[in-house]
Amino acid sequence: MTDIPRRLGSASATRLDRAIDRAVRDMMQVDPRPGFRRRVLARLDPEPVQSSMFLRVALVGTVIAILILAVMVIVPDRRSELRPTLAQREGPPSTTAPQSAAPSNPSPSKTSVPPRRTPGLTRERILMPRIANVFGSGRNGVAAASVDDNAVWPAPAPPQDLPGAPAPLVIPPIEPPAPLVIPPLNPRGPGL
Amino acid sequence: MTATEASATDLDLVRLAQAGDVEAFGELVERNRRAVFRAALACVGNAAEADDVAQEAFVTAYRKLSTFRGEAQFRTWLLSITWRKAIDRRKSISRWLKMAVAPARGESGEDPFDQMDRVASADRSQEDTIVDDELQRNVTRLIGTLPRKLRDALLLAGTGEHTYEQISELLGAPLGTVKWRVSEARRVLKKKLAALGYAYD
Repeated sequence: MTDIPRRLGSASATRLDRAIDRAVRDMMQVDPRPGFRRRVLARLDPEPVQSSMFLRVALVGTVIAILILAVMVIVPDRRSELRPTLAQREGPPSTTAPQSAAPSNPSPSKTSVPPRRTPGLTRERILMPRIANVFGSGRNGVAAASVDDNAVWPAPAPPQDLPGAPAPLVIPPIEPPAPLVIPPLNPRGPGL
Repeated sequence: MTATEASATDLDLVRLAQAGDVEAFGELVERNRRAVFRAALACVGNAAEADDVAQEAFVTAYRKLSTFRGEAQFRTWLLSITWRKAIDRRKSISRWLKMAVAPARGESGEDPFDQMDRVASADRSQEDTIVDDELQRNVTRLIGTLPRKLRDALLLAGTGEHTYEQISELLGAPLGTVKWRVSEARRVLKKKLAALGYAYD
């Protein structure tokens, strides 16, 4: 097969050369479809859109970064605020004892335990509104931890008679029962 | 197209386009569309894909226009962009999938180089009609079986739009190598045609 080209005659070679030229020309001498310039210029337009898209993406990314930073800054502050609050809530129960020991002054704003101060917190006194004691006087409330054996409790004031009020309930004193008398037993039986 | 744009050189139009004149770039597209399209066609072998690659090449050139310093000819710079795009397209997976799905026109094992629309064959001359159609079909099919380096050189030389110097820069091969590849492609084709029996006619 290697000697085939050598056996080609000049006429055949010319014919084949012409066939090759023609085939290549048919394959390659093709023009793009009409409107090529318009199509290319139409594809140039999305460039500004892409740049605005880039700006949008950059803007969204910046906002997300700011949010993440804000969360990272705020969350540790909240934790440091919650720590002393929890410590105050979980304080020792003895703090209630002085309050019960002085029943004449049941105001919750006064306490013998000084408030804990945490570095970083404000030292200004926060004035809280007075809260009405919806449970009544602290005298009637008795707790195991607040009972003082030596304390003398004053008697409650008698209720005043009001017009139209129902008559007070009078409970007569209970009479002692008659002594039980047991007759002696008859050895012969009853009625005999 | 204005008269100024018509008489301007490619470099003048490039300067205008760099300043934001889209119409000047449109004139560059008009002047180079055929060369760009045919270079892409020589690589990808399909007119529709070559059209798309050519458009991509122009769009890329427009976006990179600020990097063009005028040291080389605009067409050479544009063709190098086109060739890279076309090579990427030829290597793309979708391209290979498409080639695998589409039945090969030639013998089994040959490179299924797609044959593009035969626009030029519609206006055959009287002399051309004498040429055997069967021989033409065989030549076209055998071009698809050539090694890529030989085929690229042969087809680029046959576009009528590119000089050997441009092809040399496009393929990154010395001028002598390009000429040898074209000659070698023709020799291999004739050898295969002779094997098919055309040498004894």
